[in-house]
Amino acid sequence: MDPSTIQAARNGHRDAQAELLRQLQDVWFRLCLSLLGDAGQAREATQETALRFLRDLPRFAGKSQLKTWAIGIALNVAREMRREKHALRSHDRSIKPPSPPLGPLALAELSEQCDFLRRMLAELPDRQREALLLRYFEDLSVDDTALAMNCAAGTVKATVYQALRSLRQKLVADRIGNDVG
Amino acid sequence: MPAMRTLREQLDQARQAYAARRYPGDLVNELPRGLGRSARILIAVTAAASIAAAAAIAVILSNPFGRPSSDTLPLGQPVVQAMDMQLPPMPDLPTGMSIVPDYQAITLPGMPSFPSMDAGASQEDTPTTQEAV
Repeated sequence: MDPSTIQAARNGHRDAQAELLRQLQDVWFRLCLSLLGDAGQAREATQETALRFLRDLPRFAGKSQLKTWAIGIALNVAREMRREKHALRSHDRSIKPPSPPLGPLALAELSEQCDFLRRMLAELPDRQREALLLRYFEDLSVDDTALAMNCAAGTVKATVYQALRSLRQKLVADRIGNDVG
Repeated sequence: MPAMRTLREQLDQARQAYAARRYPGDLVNELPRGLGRSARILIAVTAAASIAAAAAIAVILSNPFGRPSSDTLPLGQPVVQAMDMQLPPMPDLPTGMSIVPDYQAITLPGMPSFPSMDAGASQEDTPTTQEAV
C-alpha cells in the first residue's frame, strides 16, 4: 500500500480512503468468511470492519503494516459476531442472526469455493483457525500474526503447530477410515 | 511422510481457493448507506428502552388498582380533611407570689475553746511516783 495514499486517507481524503477500502475488502471478506462460515455474516462483518477502519484510521500509529492492523480489526469484529452467534444459539436455536441478502448466484459460487476450506478448517478450535489463516493463507509473518491476534509470537508458533498437527491427525484418520471402508 | 505430503497439497489447494474469494459487491458504495453495527445496536437498544418506558408509564396510569377509585375519593377534593386546630386559652399565672425568698440572717456559732498549754506543762514537771522513789 502506498504510504502517500495511507497518509492522505488518514487526513480524511475520500478518494484515498476509497482506494484503501478497495484494496482491503477482499482480505477482510475472505478472512471473515473463513471464521464465521456464513457469506451474509461475512459481508456484514466486512462492512463493520470498514467503518471501524475509517473511524480509527487517524489513530493508526504505523507500528505495524496497515494490512496487519486492518486484519486485526476484522479479527475483532469476527470474534464479536462469533460470540453473539454462540450466545444466540445457546438461548434460542430457532433465532438466526440477521444477514444482508446475497444473490443466489453469488451464494452458489461462494459455497463451491468455500466447501473444501470449510471441511478442512471447521473442526479446528477458533484460535488455531485464526492463526493458520493469518500465517499460511494471508502470508503474514509470525510477528504480524501475533500483532493481529493480539498475542505473543511464541503463542502464534505453538498455536499453528497445534493446528497443523491436528489437521495431520485428521487426515491420517480419514485415510484409515477410507481404507477400512 | 505421505500424510505430510498430502497435508501440504491440501493446504496449497485451500490457499488457492481462499485467495480466489472476492467481496460480493463494492464496499465503498455500500458503506454510506448504513450506520455502523455498534451504532445500529445502540439505536435499537435506545428505541427499545424508550418503548418499554412508555409502555410502563401507560400501564401505571391506566391501572385501576394503582390509584384510589372515584367512589371513595372524588377528584378535585383534597385528600387531607381540614382539622379544627384551635388551641385552648393559656392558663393565667398565679399572682402575689414573690420570686425572691425572704431575708434570713446567717450567724455562725462561736468557736470551741481549747485547753491551755500551760496546764499541760505544769503536769510534765511533776515527777512520777517511781522517780520520786
